[in-house]
Amino acid sequence: MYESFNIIDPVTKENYPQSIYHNVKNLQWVANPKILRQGAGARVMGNEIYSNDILMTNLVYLKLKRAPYSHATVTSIDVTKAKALPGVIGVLTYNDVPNLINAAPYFYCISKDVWNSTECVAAVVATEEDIAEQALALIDVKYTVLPFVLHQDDALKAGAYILHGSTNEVGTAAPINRGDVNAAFAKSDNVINLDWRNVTKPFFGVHPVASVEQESFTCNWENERMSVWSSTQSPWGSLRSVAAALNLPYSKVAALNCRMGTGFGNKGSDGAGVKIAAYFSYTLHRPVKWYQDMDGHFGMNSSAWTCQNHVMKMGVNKDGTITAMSDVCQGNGGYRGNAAAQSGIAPFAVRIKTANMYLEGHDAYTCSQGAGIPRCVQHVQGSVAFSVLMDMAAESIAMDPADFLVKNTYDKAGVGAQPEFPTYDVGCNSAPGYINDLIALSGWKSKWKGWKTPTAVNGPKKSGIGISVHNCSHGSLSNPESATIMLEPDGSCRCVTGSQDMGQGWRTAAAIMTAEEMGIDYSLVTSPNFATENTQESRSPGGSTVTRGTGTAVILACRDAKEQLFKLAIIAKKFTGVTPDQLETAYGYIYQKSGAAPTSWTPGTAPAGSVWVKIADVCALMTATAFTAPAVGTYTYGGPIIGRGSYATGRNGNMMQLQQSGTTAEVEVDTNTGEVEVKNIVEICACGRNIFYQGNFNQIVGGIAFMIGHALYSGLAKDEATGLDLNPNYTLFKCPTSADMPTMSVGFNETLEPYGPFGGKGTGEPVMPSASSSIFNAIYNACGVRSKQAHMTPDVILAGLGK
Amino acid sequence: MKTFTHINATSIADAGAKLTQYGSSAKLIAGGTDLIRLLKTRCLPDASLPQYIINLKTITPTLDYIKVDGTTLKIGALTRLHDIAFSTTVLGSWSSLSQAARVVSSWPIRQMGTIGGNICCQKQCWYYRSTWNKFQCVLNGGTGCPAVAGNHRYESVFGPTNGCYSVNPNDISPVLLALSATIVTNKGSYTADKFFDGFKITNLGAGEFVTEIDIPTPAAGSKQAFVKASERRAVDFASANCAILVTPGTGTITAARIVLGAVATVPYLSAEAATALIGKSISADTAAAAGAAAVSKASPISALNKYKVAMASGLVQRALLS
Ligand SMILES: Cc1cc2nc3c(=O)[nH]c(=O)nc-3n(C[C@H](O)[C@H](O)[C@H](O)COP(=O)(O)OP(=O)(O)OC[C@H]3O[C@@H](n4cnc5c(N)ncnc54)[C@H](O)[C@@H]3O)c2cc1C
Ligand code: SF4
Repeated sequence: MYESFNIIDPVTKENYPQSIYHNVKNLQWVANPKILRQGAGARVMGNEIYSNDILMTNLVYLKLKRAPYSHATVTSIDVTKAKALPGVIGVLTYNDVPNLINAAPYFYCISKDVWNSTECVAAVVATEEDIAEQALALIDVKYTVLPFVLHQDDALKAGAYILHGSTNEVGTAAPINRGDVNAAFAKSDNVINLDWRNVTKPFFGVHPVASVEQESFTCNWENERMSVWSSTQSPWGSLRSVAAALNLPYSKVAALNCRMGTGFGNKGSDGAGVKIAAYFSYTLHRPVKWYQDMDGHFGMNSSAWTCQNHVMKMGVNKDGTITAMSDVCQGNGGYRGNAAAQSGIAPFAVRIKTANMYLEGHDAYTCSQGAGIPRCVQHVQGSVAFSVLMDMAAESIAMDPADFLVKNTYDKAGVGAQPEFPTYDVGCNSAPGYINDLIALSGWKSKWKGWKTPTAVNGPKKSGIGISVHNCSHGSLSNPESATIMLEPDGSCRCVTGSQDMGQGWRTAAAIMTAEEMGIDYSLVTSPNFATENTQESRSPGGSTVTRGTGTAVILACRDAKEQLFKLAIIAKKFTGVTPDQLETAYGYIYQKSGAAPTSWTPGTAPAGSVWVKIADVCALMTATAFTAPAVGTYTYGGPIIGRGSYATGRNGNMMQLQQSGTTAEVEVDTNTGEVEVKNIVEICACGRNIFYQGNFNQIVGGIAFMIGHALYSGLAKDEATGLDLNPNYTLFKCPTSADMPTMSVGFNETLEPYGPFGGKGTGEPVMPSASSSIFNAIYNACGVRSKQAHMTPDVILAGLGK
Repeated sequence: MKTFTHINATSIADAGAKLTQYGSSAKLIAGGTDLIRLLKTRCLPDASLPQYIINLKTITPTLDYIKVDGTTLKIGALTRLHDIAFSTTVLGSWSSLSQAARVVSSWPIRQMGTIGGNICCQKQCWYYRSTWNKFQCVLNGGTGCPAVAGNHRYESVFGPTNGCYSVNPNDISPVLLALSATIVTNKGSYTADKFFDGFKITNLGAGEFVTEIDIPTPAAGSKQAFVKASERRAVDFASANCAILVTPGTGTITAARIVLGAVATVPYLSAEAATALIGKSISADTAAAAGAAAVSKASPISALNKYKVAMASGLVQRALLS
């Protein structure tokens, strides 16, 4: 049973006079739980088109040959047999791949040097998928196998085998250094240490962002234009990389996005496949389809295995005050040297109030997949470790962990809330209000019976409850955002944005904002699937910034469209003696702000002194032949109404948004078998204005599902002797199923964010760390086994119990 | 996926003949839930991947049935696990089989997967299942067992067969052993304890395949149960499972068959657990003693798969006390 509800937080419902984005109208569509998703009918009927559904005459299929080693150099490659196979029409190896396609060292599409077992050494195009696959088997490759390093701690050890240049260290950012940590530790009543390892022998990394839909691209060079149907969340990236690979102007490439089968943070576009598919299509003049194989899908550079080790320390006084905290984190940057450690430690800066904090991160090159973005940009691992540390600290002073969170969770808001970014405005902070909501709604005070005291015991089964919260700041990126509003003569409206809906419901959120801002019925708004030819660039969904960023562009586009609409109404003499800024819309009507506003969809006749004109009646004038466009005052009728919104975060000063989430988990542990069942989850999400209620709820539930896997079993396994992946597909790798889902209550703590449209902000990510760590803490409460690593698998539980 | 020629068998005899004719280049297909995986991943050497697939679903009269002949339950090899799970006949006197069928994988797999396919299904070791046969272990035509030095968290705690430690993780097999089933083939029959092989999965000979499973009715008053532990609650092979048949269920036990699955290369019938139970009645103490006895001969490869010992022991207790 799942339930959800909104809690309007009276404390943080602040008024930000500087914000132009708060619409104070009686909201019709924002936060309405009954909104139907854009495209819901097609999805329910199975009629949505995914990029792998694209079929064309003359279509040919691309397959990539991957190296079976973690680190090697190709000494010879013989493609004679593959080329001779009937049906094969193209083979590419590192010998003949054009330089433009092979971007840069370590980012090669087809490489002679293998830094990771999923690197591609050859590509085949054939008339059938099976023929292409058969041809891969016929390519004879000889390798010189080289030593490899898989783990960050091994890579950063003195004397480690050096993979790139003179050091395996990718680069170290300046540490966060507040106050005097050592002095504070020395004066603390207790100092708690936690050595947290995500690299454990059974599992290499945790929770992949290998989404259920593999990457799929179809490229077609026709009429001097390259069409790219892609499943990526960054179609603009596809467009740019294809254009660069083929030396084409951007305008000759169109990314046509279909329905996306999820992304989970980083379904990027830089895979070898799209560039090679585009190359073959360009040279063969045929459409080429590439569907990522599972090895590649799980192993691709950005597939977000978070591998961090944390050496953490926390000082605490008996009254519950955290005196100091430090962490030295090592992150696995993979073969492309991604930044895992830096983002792993970042959230701590806004997690607790202590004035003494030292955080240091080191990323290492390894021969593994690179750490990517598992929703909540790398924060999950460090934050789970952090929450376990918080639990340990509370236990050390015998304090209720919920009270400890209330006392210590960061509660600053507005400008300067984060000392490292003194000029930034982080907006609202719902702490400690949302934590108190969580404590009340979960029944924590009656359920939690003390440290290592199960809430219930049934034979070998012991139940426990755990609590955790998460704060992190997001949204400081300043990518451009764009939106276009096209009003139709019947008063309906299209909202096209440059951001891809990756399943999270962005199209619906955009349509909700459009309906609300335009004052029209939601059912009249369509927010179609995305094509780069219909719009301009927006950032790819990520970092929970789309609602705030692209959403703002939607509001600006609506306002631009309304201004044109109002001018048209004035030209048509529907209103006299007014300027556009004196008009507004509501319930499908334009009204004069000086008079009364309609208060329902069927408002009847306007009272004396007020003028109400149907929006649809004015829109009809856009194409009415009887309507000639006289000049009225300074306005001239300019034809169809197209509102344009363009926005970049930087233009509005430095802003972030604080993302906050609190979770309690109730689990049952079988102390005989080590099995863990998550029985119940209560989640409070501090969401700003809850714009797309159902979408938000789904994001939360999805995040919880993801984190049940993270806490219990979703690990990528590697063979230490070869570095090869052992479970890179969905039969061997385990993500939670519906049978693993507990009962859930999801509450939204609503605030008004200063810069978000309607006071909204992104909420996709923060649930992850709090949900996962609440499960770890609940397991400890149930059976006394404290995790010092990712995954509480039965072996960890039983070993912890001494069995 | 490896391409192949698909042949519809028309009868048991026809299927047997085709299987003999094409020899090792042929494989049978029932529900296809496991076989197609092998073809898709190309986890075997190319030469070992079948060129011919012989379809058993077209055999007439059909091998999809559940019936009782006298006191024997007869299940056709092509009967789907879903039908077994919800058959009132099976639930009547063979409830542990129903319990096992219900927890196999997921609803879609149970809708397609057959009982014959389940007990003949290949090993699940992730080294063996690696795409393009990257590890070339002894089971897939190469040499050695990389899992021993490598990641053997799911492998046998009761030693290897022919150097292979991969367990038989199927949920149906232990029940067949506990209930003393007979596996009928086109060429003869095997008692369940003679049917399974720790390396080849089964002892079926060339041209031989399963046509029926026969299970006698357990003695009146006996207690049977099937329990399973897995990391996730659906679509997951057992980390360990356990099927029991104890006679009688209440009072002094005269006979007991305690079978552990997913901990050894074959379903493991524990004589030690039976000895611990006979002459006693079921209680928390005897259950714990039987659990301990069931794993008394276990020798895990390392700390990595040691948990299976405690887990299996815990499952014996759970089954007995259920
Ligand atoms: C994702 C997934 C999860 C799973 N989880 C579980 C689980 O939890 N528990 C469990 O027990 N099983 C599990 N399985 C295995 C599943 O039960 C089997 O795949 C299924 O029962 C096989 O039946 P099938 O009819 O589809 O066999 P097929 O795939 O058609 O055949 C499987 C093998 O048996 C051979 N075969 C088929 N029929 C016969 C016959 N009559 N005589 C001789 N040989 C035959 C085939 O040649 C082939 O080698 C899982 C499988 C998958 C794919
Ligand atoms: S356990 Fe068996 S299947 Fe697995 S690697 Fe060893 S020999 Fe191969």
